[in-house]
Amino acid sequence: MNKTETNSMWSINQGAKARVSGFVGVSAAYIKRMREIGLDVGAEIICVNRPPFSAPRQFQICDGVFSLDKEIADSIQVAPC
Amino acid sequence: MSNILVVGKPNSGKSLLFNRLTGVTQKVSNFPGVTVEIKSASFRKHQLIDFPGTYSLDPLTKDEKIAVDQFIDSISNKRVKGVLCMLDSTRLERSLVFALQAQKVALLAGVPVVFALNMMDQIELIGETVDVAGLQRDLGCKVFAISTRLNQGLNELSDALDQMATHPEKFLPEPMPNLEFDPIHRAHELHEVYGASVEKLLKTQNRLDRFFLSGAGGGVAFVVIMLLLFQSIFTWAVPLMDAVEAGIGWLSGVVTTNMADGMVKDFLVDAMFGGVGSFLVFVPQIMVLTFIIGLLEDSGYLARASVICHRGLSRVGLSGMSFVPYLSGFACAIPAIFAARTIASPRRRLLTILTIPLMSCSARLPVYSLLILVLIPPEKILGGLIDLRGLVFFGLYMLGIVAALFVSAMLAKFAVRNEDDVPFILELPPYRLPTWKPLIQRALNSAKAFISKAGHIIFAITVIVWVLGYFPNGAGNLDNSYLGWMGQLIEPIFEPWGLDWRYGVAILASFVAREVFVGTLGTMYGIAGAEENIAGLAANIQADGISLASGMALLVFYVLALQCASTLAVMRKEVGNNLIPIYAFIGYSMLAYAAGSVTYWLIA
Ligand SMILES: Nc1nc2c(ncn2[C@@H]2O[C@H](COP(=O)(O)OP(=O)(O)OP(=O)(O)O)[C@@H](O)[C@H]2O)c(=O)[nH]1
Ligand SMILES: [Mg+2]
Repeated sequence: MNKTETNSMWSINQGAKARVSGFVGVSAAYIKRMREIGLDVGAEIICVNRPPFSAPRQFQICDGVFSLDKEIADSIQVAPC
Repeated sequence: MSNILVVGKPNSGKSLLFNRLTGVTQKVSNFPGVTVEIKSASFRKHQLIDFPGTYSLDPLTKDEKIAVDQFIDSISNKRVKGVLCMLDSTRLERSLVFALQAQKVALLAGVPVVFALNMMDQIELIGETVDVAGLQRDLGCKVFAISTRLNQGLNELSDALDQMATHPEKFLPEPMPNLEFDPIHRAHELHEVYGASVEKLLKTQNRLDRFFLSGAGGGVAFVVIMLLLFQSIFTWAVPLMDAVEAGIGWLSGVVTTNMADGMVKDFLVDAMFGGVGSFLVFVPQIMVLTFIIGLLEDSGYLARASVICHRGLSRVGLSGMSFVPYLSGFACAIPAIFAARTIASPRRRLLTILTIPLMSCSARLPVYSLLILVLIPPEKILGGLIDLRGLVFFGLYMLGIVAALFVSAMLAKFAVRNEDDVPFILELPPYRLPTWKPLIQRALNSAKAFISKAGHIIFAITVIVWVLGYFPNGAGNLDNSYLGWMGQLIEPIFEPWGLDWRYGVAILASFVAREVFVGTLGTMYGIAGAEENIAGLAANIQADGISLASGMALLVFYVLALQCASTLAVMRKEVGNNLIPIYAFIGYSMLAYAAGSVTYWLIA
């Protein structure tokens, strides 16, 4: 991932950390739910696993591990940390 | 009577605790969103109410809204004397986000709250601790550290709940804690200060996920696990089935040897032991299947399987979340249709519900088993590695799955409109060793449900079939009975498949419930042959002769037809539409008949 620009959550490398920086094209209700599962702006996340064939990827978010598919992970912006 | 509400984040152990405290057997499983309906049961002098788990009091989907609304409504109900808020100590921060919201609502309404910090055994296992006293101080309400699984701390908790429901005023915090905070930030803070190390908690889980979810190992594991599931139904259950069969044979011997010949004896031999008994033989298979599905669920593997299947299922309009309902559909379509509530997207959920009936449920097991015993020789292929019968059996299940995916793809393309979609976000539960007691309990429950069904519907239909087949001319005159005359009227429907009228009658009767097929045939063979050989229905059919083409056509028909009145009723309830089940019924009947005809034509 490029050090300076923001990227989508989908592009985080396995084992790498990033910080949530914003959401694109997600409804307000969803942004709220994502905050509740820990996907808050500023939160640190780790991509723990990138299965092949664009299967949903696993992210460690606070004390939980969540699987997100490409569609939703692409709408979450992250910055390197 | 006073009520206590049990609430908390999904998969935190609410239902297991509810079961332990009340003695009921509510479904417990290691997957978020298992409980879909509120359930209450008595606990000492009170009533405990188990809620579906939610991440937040701000609902996103219709079902979440129902659960949340019910919670909010209940709080202002005078009978509600307290809230038990479940915290998962291994997911403290996530649990607190919901718990803090619930605590606020309850305290503002003057209802006291106690917290149960569950899964402490897991925390000890990794050598960590949670500061219970500190947490209690900051939350302003009592916190009990428990392990529901190991039965630790449950006595203290029960006593406290009892006291809370009896004297709620004593459990209201004095002074009222500060409730003006952002639950998300507060949960984070509390977890940082009091919680266990996340690194340690997730270490094994992440390592196992890297194996099960990526690379070749994960794919192979998936296939092996699914194959074992199907093989086991055939292999593990066989000794038990033999035992039941022998037991029924023995019982019928004891009951009927000293009986005078005549109508009563004929009835017992044909309808009771031949009809209902031939169905009971399959109960062990149903138990083994339920047990293994439960085992997979409890281990945490099913959530991974959902992830693996997500991409593929999305292609045909479904979602990874359809995997668990589909798999439960192998046991019974009814709980499977309820399980589809975990699918947040209305469209994907509808497609899942519509195609669940194509999963071969355990009611088809007796039909499959019987016909496979008749048609397929007990041979091993590939150098003794694979059992031919097991393989055909597997093929039938696969046919159902492939048909479901095909039907879903077609419906997604042409019929079911694209509403707003909901993203796929699934929390992965930890891997766990199964809790044996609830698993065995579940298997026994499934057997009980089947036997009670045998006791009612199947028995009733078997009796009707026997009466119609026995009269007016008595034993040995099946062709010349009321049933025979009626059967000859419908004979043309299945004649093209080389099946005589007896099969026609059995198929039509099984539109009430599929298992009736076996009992009905058993009864008719009993009347016709008036033979004492009860257990050998398969042998009787073989002696009578049925061609491979006819038999396979029949099997394919049973894979695809939607012959279950209860499934249609539940489908109607869950989709909230009267026409959809009718279309489904007609559509699947036509599909089944057409596919059966093609099968016959291909083989014959
Ligand atoms: N190790 C351990 N496992 C537990 C404990 N309590 C519950 N479990 C397991 O946690 C899983 C979830 O339990 P459930 O009772 O179904 O959870 P729930 O909160 O009712 O979940 P939903 O109905 O989905 O909201 C099951 O596999 C239980 O066996 C515990 O104290 N220790
Ligand atoms: Mg539950």
